[in-house]
Amino acid sequence: MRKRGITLLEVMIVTVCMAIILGATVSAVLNAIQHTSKVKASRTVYDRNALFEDRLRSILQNAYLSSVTTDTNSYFYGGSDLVDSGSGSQNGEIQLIFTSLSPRIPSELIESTDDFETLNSSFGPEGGMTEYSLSLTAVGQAPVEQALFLRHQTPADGDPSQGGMELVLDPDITTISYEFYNGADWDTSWDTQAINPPRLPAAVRITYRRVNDETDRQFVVRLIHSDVTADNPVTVETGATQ
Amino acid sequence: MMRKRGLVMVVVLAALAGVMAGVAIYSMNQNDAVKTSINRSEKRRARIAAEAGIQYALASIQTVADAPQDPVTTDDDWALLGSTGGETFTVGNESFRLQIIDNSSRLDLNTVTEAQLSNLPLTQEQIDSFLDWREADANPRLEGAKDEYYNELAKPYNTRLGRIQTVTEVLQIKGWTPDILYNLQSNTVNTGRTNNNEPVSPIFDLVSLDCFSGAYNPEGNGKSNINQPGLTAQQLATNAQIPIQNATTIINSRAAQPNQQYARLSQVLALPGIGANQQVIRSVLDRMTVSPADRVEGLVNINTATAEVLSIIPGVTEDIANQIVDSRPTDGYKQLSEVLTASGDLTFVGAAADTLTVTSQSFRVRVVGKAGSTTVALEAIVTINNSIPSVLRVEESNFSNMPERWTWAEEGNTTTLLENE
Repeated sequence: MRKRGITLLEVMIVTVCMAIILGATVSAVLNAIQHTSKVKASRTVYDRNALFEDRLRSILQNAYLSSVTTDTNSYFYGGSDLVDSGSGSQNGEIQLIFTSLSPRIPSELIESTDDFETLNSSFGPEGGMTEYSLSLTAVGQAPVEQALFLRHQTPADGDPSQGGMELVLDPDITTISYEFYNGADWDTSWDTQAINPPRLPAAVRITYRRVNDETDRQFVVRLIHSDVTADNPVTVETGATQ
Repeated sequence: MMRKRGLVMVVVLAALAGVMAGVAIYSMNQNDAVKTSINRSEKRRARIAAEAGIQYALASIQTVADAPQDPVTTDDDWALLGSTGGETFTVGNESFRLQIIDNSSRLDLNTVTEAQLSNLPLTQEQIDSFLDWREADANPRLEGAKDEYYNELAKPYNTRLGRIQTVTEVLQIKGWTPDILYNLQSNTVNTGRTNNNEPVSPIFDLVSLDCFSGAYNPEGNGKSNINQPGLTAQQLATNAQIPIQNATTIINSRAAQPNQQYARLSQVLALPGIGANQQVIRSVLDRMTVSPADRVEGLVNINTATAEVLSIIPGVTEDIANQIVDSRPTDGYKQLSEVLTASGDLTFVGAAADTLTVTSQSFRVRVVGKAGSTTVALEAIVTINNSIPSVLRVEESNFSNMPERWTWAEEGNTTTLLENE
């Protein structure tokens, strides 16, 4: 028995088995790698959208109007016809300009024991209310022509057209539009100067598109400081709806 | 031959290893994707749970809105709701814990006076700058600051010159740093502090905004506004239940006040014949007001304030503050005049008339929402407007350890399941 060699049949069976195992392995691994890269790509898109939507949501949900109804340092403008309201919009571009409670104070600032002026030069003013504007064209000089720009200024200074810092919120958003819920309908514009006393929309619906992508993406942000509800809507008489 | 068999083994093992590696890479990636998406969803769900907690609190505060003339005390249902954060309310897969405190147990930054600020651990520069920030007047105080100062800062801005909107806004005021606001100040000289008690709380825990309270007399009707044009001595005597000669003094002395108006009730107590009569003093405290509004801003509720907050008010000594807190009836002081048992000293009585109350129309809702292992802490100011409690402002906390900072009870003492009705 020990001296008997292996038969051709045995060699062939082993070879075939090995081929099958190797083939299966290679294809499994290739598949996994391919799938992984596909998932990665789709996740990048998802993450990019999620990141953008989360950032915008975290700012917008805290939109806030001063408790003094005549305070011109707080406002909420949205839509395309803002030229007349002195908000600085050019060529009727769709914009969103609003005041909001300032974001969380960075923990390095909270823990710092520096004096007031040192803190001012290293962190800038924090707390209180911040003014935000979203636009597809930069207010100041920008290295890129097309992007979604976010301008923010703390404290809000009553000039909705400029001031503060400007950054690229998302580099490849090509179109963005907003709708505002008034308790009954979605309006295409909002201007707190036209509402007495000023009120915030109950929610904002944002629709946007990316470069080389024809898909309309949409998400809704509820404004926690709005007192507008279905039972307490902003009516046509107050001038909010166009 | 043996080598060949070994080779087969090696090939098979290598193949298996390859398969395992492929599966591992794949699952690791999936795992990451799932984790990211869970984190994101948990954060949003925790925030929604916290907002649900605020709505739940509103329902409890409605009982105060329904009986605005009743005293607001720490034994009320709203105050006990959530057992100081010890109770967990679950809604589906999420949960929240909450605590409601009386906003009128603190000093209102929009009404706080220079004398009160002097009793806080603040320097004269901080006090002057604070008052300059709030006042519309363009001229700064000696150590204060207006636009000339703020416009020259490395990161310049303008002075508010109006109502402060959030407590964190004070960080924009000259000399005010997070250290002053959030940490205990033990080494600052209190220039004006008349009491010797050491501060035990950071300023952030002593102050607030939008501290409203109702102006009602013991019968539950609106207090008599002594500044009301056309108010006759006879009407005041009837409404405030005081002798006609005292009412006549009050009405006739109005013209002698600055702007022909009483700015404070203590001005009434200083009139001849008023401060000597206990019954009239009671009427001033319980039945009179200097404003036409049915709610007043900035009064401190003696039923909910700590002795530390009370003793910041000039005229309220440490002894009186402790006396007020220690001898609180279990169901609260029903009328402001009951503080006369703590002290009859006229300086104190004047301070009580100007700055103290037994009711409240404003609350702070502290809530922590939880989804999975993610928590979100929010603090909301709820005020009662036209008998309806509504959320005025919701702020995300600046610290990650809020339950600890709020000195909440341990989590999970009791769990209450909230279901759809």
